Amino acid sequence: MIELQLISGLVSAAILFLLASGLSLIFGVCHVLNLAHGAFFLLATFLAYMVTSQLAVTEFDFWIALILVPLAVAGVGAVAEITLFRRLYGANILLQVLPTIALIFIISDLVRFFWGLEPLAVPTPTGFNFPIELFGVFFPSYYAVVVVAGALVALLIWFLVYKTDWGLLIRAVSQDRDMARALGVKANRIFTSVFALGTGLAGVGGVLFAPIGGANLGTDMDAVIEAFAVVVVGGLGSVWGSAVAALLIGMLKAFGILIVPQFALAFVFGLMAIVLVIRPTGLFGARE
Amino acid sequence: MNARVEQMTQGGAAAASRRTLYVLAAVSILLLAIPVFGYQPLIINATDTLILALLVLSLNLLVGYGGMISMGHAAFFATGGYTAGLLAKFVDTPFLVAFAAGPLAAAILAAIIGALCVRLTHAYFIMLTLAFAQLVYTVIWKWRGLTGGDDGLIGFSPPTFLLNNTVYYYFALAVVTACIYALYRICESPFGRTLTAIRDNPDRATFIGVNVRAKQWTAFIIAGFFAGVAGVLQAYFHRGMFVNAAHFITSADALVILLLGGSRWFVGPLIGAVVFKILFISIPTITVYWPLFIGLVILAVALFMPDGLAKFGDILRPKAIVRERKRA
Repeated sequence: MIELQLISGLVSAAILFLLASGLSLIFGVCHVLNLAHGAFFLLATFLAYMVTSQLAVTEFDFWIALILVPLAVAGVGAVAEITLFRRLYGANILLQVLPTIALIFIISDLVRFFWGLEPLAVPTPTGFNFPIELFGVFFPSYYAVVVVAGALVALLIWFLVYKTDWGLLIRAVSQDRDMARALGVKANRIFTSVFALGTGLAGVGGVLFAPIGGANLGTDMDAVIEAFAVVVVGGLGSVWGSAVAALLIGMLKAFGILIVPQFALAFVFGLMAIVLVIRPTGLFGARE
Repeated sequence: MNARVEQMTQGGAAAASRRTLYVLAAVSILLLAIPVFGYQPLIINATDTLILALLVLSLNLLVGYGGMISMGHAAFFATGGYTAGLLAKFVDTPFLVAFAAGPLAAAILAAIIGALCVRLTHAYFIMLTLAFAQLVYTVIWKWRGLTGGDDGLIGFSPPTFLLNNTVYYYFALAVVTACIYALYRICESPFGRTLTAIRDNPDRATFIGVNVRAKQWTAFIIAGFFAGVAGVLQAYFHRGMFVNAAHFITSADALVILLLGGSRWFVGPLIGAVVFKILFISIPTITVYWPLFIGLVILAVALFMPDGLAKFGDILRPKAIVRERKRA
């Protein structure tokens, strides 16, 4: 029993990490708190439904969705940055927050327009619909796909941010955008690409989540609230903080369900309150 | 300012205060006259608008004056309404006691949540207020036995004389006017000025000896209290409290109204509330895609009219001051 909770804890940790790291990156570099992050996640679950149902004849429908959908979501994120957020950098904070709320309204209403109100099921990818055994318990083999994908993406982000020239520019712009600009960094391109990367990560999370949770209106708020909890516990702007906090919160959710099924989220909020009192900037956040 | 401008400003100020007086008189007459024709939909919507206006104005103490973007104001609105409703339904509490208990409960909740939320900067404040409000929403939604879950809390009503819509309208008008006056005095008091100073430069405020966290916390409690008053008015008016009162959309709508009306202007939110309510009633008769519509309105206002309708508020100000300000 405990092993099974451990594994489902890892699964939600992987998805939480994908959500929270994107949110954290966008905030760290662009200083925009993207309340619509959950809406991008929601959009990805429905796009995953669309791609898999259109391509159901092939065996690779899910894997095609896993590549195409995050790209499409990243495209939407890039367009939003270029047409909208770029004009609001430096504006007062109400003017920065409300457009992200507007995006929540617009995206969820468009989803309702195209796919209706009913929850939609997304099939488990072909080849992963059997249970596998580990430590004497059986669990869906698809869970392993999610956990491995989450770990791979974490490595990929680390590589992108710390080992590439582009990552160097990102870190420069996030530390001091004016100085970076003065040195000839095209900061606007960095902002657009970070927005695309962050929303694309939400897209990967959405596609991976779809076979487990389906495509459901309303996941947008749940997703963004849980991402906030991760970011608050881990520290805003720290990708490593997001990883550790996602693991903590994923486990808390999985084991909390055993104790009080109705209010598993209460444990998450309890942890959040404790961290805030003891270490207000989060476990890995920079001190103010 | 040189002497000439000062002279102009004084003359202008007298004219402006006369204009303000005319506008106030006209608005009072209009508000008092609304139920005269006995047209029920108008009375009901007008009452709802009054309640909405109070909710938004209480939020503006945080947003406009304190520079704190609370994404969870619905939690206090709902707490006020549900507390009064639960007391009236299960404990058979007298009307006035239940009416007072709602805002108090909202203020207590605000004291607890606020203590955690004012510890950090903008981004954390937004995330935490939203997260805690969502927690309140989840508790109300899932605790069916107590709150009725998504069926709503029904089975209580105000004293018989308030069952008439017209009478309730005047009751709400009296309560809301009193609360608006109280909030106006708070905003204009040294405490309100201190909040504005914190908004504009928290470091400087700290240097001159202001306890920034304590002031922000106090503002959070006051705002929660008045949101609770709005909640109780709502509960007794509809003789029920429904879980969407605590939903994120209620908080978001309040912020949208602040954007529409302009948050740096005391009456901006009131005008925003009226405009929003008119849109909210008329647009769904044209299209079912209300969220899409209001989303596009938000984007348009944010990009092209960042001051909201407050720009038109300059009519009420002395011309010289407006001109001075434009030059600056």
